[in-house]
Order: sequence, then C-alpha cells, then structure tokens
Amino acid sequence: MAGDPGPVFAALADPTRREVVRLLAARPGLTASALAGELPVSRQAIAKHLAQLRAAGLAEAEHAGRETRYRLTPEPFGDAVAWMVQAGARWDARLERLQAQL
Amino acid sequence: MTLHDELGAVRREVVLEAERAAVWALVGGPDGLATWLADEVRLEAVEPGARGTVREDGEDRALTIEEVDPGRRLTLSWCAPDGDASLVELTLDEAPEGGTRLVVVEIPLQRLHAVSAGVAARAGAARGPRMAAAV
Repeated sequence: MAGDPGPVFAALADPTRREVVRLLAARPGLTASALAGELPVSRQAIAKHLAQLRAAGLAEAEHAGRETRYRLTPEPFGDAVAWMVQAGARWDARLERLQAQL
Repeated sequence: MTLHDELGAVRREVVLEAERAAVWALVGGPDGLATWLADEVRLEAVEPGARGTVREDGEDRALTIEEVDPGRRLTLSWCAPDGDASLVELTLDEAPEGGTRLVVVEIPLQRLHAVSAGVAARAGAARGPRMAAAV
C-alpha cells in the first residue's frame, strides 16, 4: 500500500523503535536478543517493537534454524524515515551551532 | 502519545546555559538566526508574514515567518525546492535546573493537514445530529 505513510510514521514515533530501525539498517539480520543487548530495554519489549514494525510493513522476520532474524523491508521506508533522519540530523547540527554562540 | 509523535515529527530539546533573553536574541531576529540556523539567512525581519531564504548544504529554502511570541516562541514554515514544506516551532522556557530550555519541533505540513482533517472528521462525528439540533 504505497502512498499512505500514516502507519509508518506511527511506527517510527517511538524512540526505541527508531533505534531498532537504525540498528537493523546498520546490521541486517539481528535477532531480538541481539537487539535487546544493544538497547536499554528487555527482550520482551523488543519483541513488541518488532511486531509493530512488522505490522507497519517496515521489518520482516526470517527463520533460520531456531533463530528469528529481522531485517528492514525497504519499500515503505523511503520518504518517512529519510525525512526524519535527515531533518533530525540537521537540527542536531543547527543546535550545536546555536550553543556555540552562547 | 502526543500529537507531535503521531505526526512523525522531529523533536529536539536542549537546555542552554544562558538567560532566555540571550537565547531569544539569537532566535528573534535575522542577525541572530544568521549565526546558526543555516549557512546563509536572507530575511528582513522576524515578524509574521515576513519571507526570506535560507541556504543550507548548497540548497535554498523559501522561508516564511508564521508566528512570533517575543521571548518565547517562533513558528516558521520552510520548503526546499524539491521537498515538502514543513512547519518549525522553536519554544523557549526556563529550565527547572537553571538556564533556558529550547524545544524544536519540525512537522511535515502534509502530515499536519492529514491529521487536522482526521481530527475535524472525528469531531464532526462526535457532535452527531442531536448535538447539531441543540446548537
């Protein structure tokens, strides 16, 4: 369902989910346990976030033996994430310059 | 969950070690903004309706000042040539731990319109025929 970014934005509204997305973007194929090891939240919480990302069509699960590995699905991502990442990075830079003025 | 979160907005919050007036000096006028907002800021005044351009990463953005609450809040909209317009709100207040807290929210306007329409539709439905008759 291209065109409606609503579920994508909702899924990305949560800072932990954005962290999960960043980690999966950098290292596709991480497991829920590996993600929990990187973030200050429980494995159960990670599982919930992953379920929400899957529901929004942002991530997919891949069963490899007893493990479930996760990766991002690129299609719905495009604009929503690109915009948030880019606009956020620009504000970080601007606010650093502002702080330097004081 | 706040409205901003639902919109997929970018939000940043910093506590600055300065009086609110000193921070506003960098926000409430073109010269102040020029020191940090972008590589180049071409703007006559920071007052509602004022239009200008900012140049950043070699790209010009058309900018419009939307609302100004001196010392407290600046709202502007801007748009890159090939991008979507977005609304930016800068809010200053006193941080409880001292200094000034600056909150920045940037919301893509497309999303804002979609949500406003949704809110209006729900408000209309909630009112219903009985409420309408009472009015």
